[in-house]
Amino acid sequence: MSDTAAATAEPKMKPRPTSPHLSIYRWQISMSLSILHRATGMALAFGLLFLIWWLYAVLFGPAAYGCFLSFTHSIVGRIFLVGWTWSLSYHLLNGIRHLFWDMGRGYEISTMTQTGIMVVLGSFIITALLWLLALTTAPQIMGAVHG
Amino acid sequence: MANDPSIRTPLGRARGLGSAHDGSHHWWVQRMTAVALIPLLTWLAVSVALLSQQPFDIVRNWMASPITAVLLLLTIFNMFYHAWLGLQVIVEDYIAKKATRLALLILIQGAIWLGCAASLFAVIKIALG
Repeated sequence: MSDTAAATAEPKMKPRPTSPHLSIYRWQISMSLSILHRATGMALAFGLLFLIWWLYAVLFGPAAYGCFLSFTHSIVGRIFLVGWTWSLSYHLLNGIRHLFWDMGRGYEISTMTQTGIMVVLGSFIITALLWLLALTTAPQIMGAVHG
Repeated sequence: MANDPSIRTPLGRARGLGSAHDGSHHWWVQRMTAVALIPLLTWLAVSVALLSQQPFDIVRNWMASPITAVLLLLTIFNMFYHAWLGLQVIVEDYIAKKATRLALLILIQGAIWLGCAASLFAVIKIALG
């Protein structure tokens, strides 16, 4: 009986090595940009609600559109819209980076760091350009183009 | 194939659908909608920036014009589809509990279809007057 008990006892195992987790990783730009891609993607998905509001404001007429504009011209609305513009710029540029990876290009670590920095800088530049365009375009110019 | 170390059956390999039973379709559509969105969103972002100071009538006329309406319909469809796939991947990656995962996937799918249909309807109604 004692022989059987010894044979069925759990064998002592050394603890197996575990894969490295986020907490012990040294920070690198790629990981932040990867997380940001998902975060901005989620933000943009929720931002689709705002797109629906915009479309229905135009559909329902001047009063509804005025209500929409009073939000976009408010401080909260401005912060939201700047965040939205930046999320879109970043996600679009980093998405192009992803498409190059899908084609098997740009995997060298130095290239990845460079393109990552380019994407971050580019996202701020595009955000700034879009807001410059929005805030400096006078009503008459578009009126002339469309009229 | 005696030398093939894979445990997949020849039929499974020929179908090429993998464990998700959907093959690489999800992956491929996510990329195709992404490619379509590059020009579409560039156009939309610049247009919206130019229109932001315009009075209501100009915005409405712009939205009702045939070219704008068609491009908007394409943009909306691609955006919602791309968002759907993206949200789905995030849920599949981070939500391990089966019931919660399924509930979230159904919720996302419903919200996406509802939002997409509502947006497409608004554009068509504006375009057709």
